[in-house]
Amino acid sequence: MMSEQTLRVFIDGVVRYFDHIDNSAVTVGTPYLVENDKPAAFDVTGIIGVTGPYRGCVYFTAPRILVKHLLLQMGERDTCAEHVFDLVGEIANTVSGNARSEFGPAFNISVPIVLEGAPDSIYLPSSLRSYVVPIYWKTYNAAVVICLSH
Amino acid sequence: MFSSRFNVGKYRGVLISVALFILLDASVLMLNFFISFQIADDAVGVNLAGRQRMLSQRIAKSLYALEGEYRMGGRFNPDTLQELTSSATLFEDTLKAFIAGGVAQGASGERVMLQAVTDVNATAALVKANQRWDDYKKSIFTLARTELGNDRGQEHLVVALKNARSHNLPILTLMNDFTVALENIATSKANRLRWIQTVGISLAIINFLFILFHFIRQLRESDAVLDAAKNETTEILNTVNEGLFLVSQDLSIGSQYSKALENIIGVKNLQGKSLLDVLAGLVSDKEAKTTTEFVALLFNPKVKEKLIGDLNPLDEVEVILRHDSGLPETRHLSFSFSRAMAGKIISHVLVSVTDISEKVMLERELNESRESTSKQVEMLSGLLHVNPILLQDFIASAYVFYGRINNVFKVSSKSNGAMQSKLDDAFVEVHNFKGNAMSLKLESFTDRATAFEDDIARLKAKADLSGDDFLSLTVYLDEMISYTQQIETLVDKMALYGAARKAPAANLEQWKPLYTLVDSVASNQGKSVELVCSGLSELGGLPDDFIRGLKTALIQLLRNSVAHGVEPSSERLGRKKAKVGRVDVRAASIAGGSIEIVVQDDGAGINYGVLRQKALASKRWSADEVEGWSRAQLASLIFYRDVSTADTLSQDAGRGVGMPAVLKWVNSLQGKIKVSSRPGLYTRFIISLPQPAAERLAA
Repeated sequence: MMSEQTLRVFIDGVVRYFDHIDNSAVTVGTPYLVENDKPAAFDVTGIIGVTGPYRGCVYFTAPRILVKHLLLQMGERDTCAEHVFDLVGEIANTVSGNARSEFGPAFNISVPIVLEGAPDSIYLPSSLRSYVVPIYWKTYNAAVVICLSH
Repeated sequence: MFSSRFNVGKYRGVLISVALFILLDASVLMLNFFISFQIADDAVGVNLAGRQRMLSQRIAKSLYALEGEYRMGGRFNPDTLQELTSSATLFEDTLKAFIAGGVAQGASGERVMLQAVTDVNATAALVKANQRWDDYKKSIFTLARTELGNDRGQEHLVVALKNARSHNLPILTLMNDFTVALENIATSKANRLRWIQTVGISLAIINFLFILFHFIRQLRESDAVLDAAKNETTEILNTVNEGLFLVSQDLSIGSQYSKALENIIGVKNLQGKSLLDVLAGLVSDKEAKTTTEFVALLFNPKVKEKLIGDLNPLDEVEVILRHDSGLPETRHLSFSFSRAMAGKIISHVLVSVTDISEKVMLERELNESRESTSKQVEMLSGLLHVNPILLQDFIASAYVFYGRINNVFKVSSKSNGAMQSKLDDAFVEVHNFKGNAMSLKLESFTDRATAFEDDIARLKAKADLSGDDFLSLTVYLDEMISYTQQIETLVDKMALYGAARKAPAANLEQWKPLYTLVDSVASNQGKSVELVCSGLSELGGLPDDFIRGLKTALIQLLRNSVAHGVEPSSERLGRKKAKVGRVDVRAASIAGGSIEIVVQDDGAGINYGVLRQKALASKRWSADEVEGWSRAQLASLIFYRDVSTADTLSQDAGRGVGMPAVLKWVNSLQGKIKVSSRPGLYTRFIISLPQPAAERLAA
């Protein structure tokens, strides 16, 4: 079972990233649950695998247009697919770094893996549920999805 | 040690061959030296023998020169006489040295030691030459001793010339024979030397070839044995499931290791790598350091291996490996270390790595299963009193509630108002769920639902809600789902699920929890209440959703009636009422295709005064407005959210969400709800619902 504090660390990671890029507030929506056989995802997804005290994965998923907007906001004019993927990976990496600094080295986190669409059964055990935390930035919706078992 | 160091063993043959080769070479070399010296001596001899020929001619020439000089001048030329003397002396000395051995003057005037000639031909020539020279030399030396100008000199010259004529040529011939004989001796020695060299070198070559072939054969045999051994080792290393490798004292990993090793520890190309570096990527720095210290101990011959076995820091260790997909993978490995000896020396430490993940997982599963069984037994005690069919029904409805609550959370919302509204909606769902749980006396669910309600109430008091404030609720919801799943598993295990499938709940049976609920709420409130139901069992054949909704509504209405309507016994007795309160539930199908449900209690009735105060306190309406309201308008307030007639909040009532939920359900079915009440006598709710379409068709 996930603890509220653990979930908050991952949410804070993403919020911090957006705050760092753009001070115009990013809003966190109300978290809800999804069964892993119907994972929630937008166009691009950056996954980090987690082992140690908690096992599973955490991913940041967003529509392509949000990521492109974010790139432009950062001063990057080229919003090609490669840059979109890199940025999503970077966000996942920031989340991972934030988690590592909170939980210490025992919380082992993988390098980010970027996918199009939703992660499949390689990453999400079908018997578990995931927490979906919607993230609202400007007019876009994205989400942090956390699927960890203790 | 000494004997083992000089134990030549299989190399004996090769060593003998090599020794023989050296001996042969040395012998040939020595003979070569010896014969070479002899040939050098013979060359001197041949040279001096040749000089004897020249001297014999020079002597004869000097004699003829003296004769000529004497004829011309009547006297001998002293130089010619001197030349005759020195030539004869040199001839004489050399001849003697040849015959008896001794010192002679060399070609360059040096002193040369000559051995007495032993060769038959040469000796024969020397003897004959010496005989002739004997007379000849006397006449020469006599002449040489003659004073210049002496008349006797002519006589001596005549004698010498006479001897010269008779001996010169034979002596020349004999000296020539002698020279040839010496040459033959030298040639013969040179031939012998050549022969010795040829034979010696041939033998050496043969010996060398023998060594070469012997070596090659031995090397091939050794290589074949080594190859076979290596193949066997490789085969073993490719087959074993364990990771096997050797570590040297400097902690470097050996060249050969088992194929499984790379997979087990997830590191490639280990040959020559430091054990410390490999471990650093797998285990904590402290564990890696301790392991290297442990390995160092194993290399210390003074330390007993058996005594330090317990110090192995990697007996069972959790490692994180990178999966091919890039995800980290947790594995449990067991490392064991043992000494590898070469004689009495600790040459290496053999490390064996086993993947014990499966074993560890099985142990964990076993422990979890034990814990789960223990929990399930605990749960079971709280479930045994519940009819299995109703329990199954409850579990099914619980998931529906959870789904609804989750859907409430799922709706996109950013404003505080929208989030407050979400809390209200979630509260209604939880409240209804709690009613269901209470009706079955499922205390664990009731307690959880109450805690959920409390959490929602806590959040509602918050002025500025944000999405992550809901996190605790989502975690709670997750926990409740998990708990319900455990109960469901338990029910399945008890084969209750199967029983429920086979035998649908009897109509009468499924309404029984209402009695339980009334008892439970009455007991909580310190009241005595009797429930009287009629017509419910005749509602058979209606859709499950309808029945489930009706049940939830009835639970809410009954809870309200008992908590708000029926007075405590003492109060009732004071009002001359029966000590035990009564709540009636009547259900009836009305001609024209509708269903009517009546819930009536014989309690204190609606307290319109309290409702008026609640309305004013809510500040939704002005005081003038509220003052002008009729009883019917005031009664309708109980369907407003957050308006409760209870004085205090309790587990059974006071949240102000129950009646709005009932209204919501009635409205969703396009039905009507009517409230009537007389203070001190009764409160009555009449719900009219259109009969569900399927039922009407069937009718």
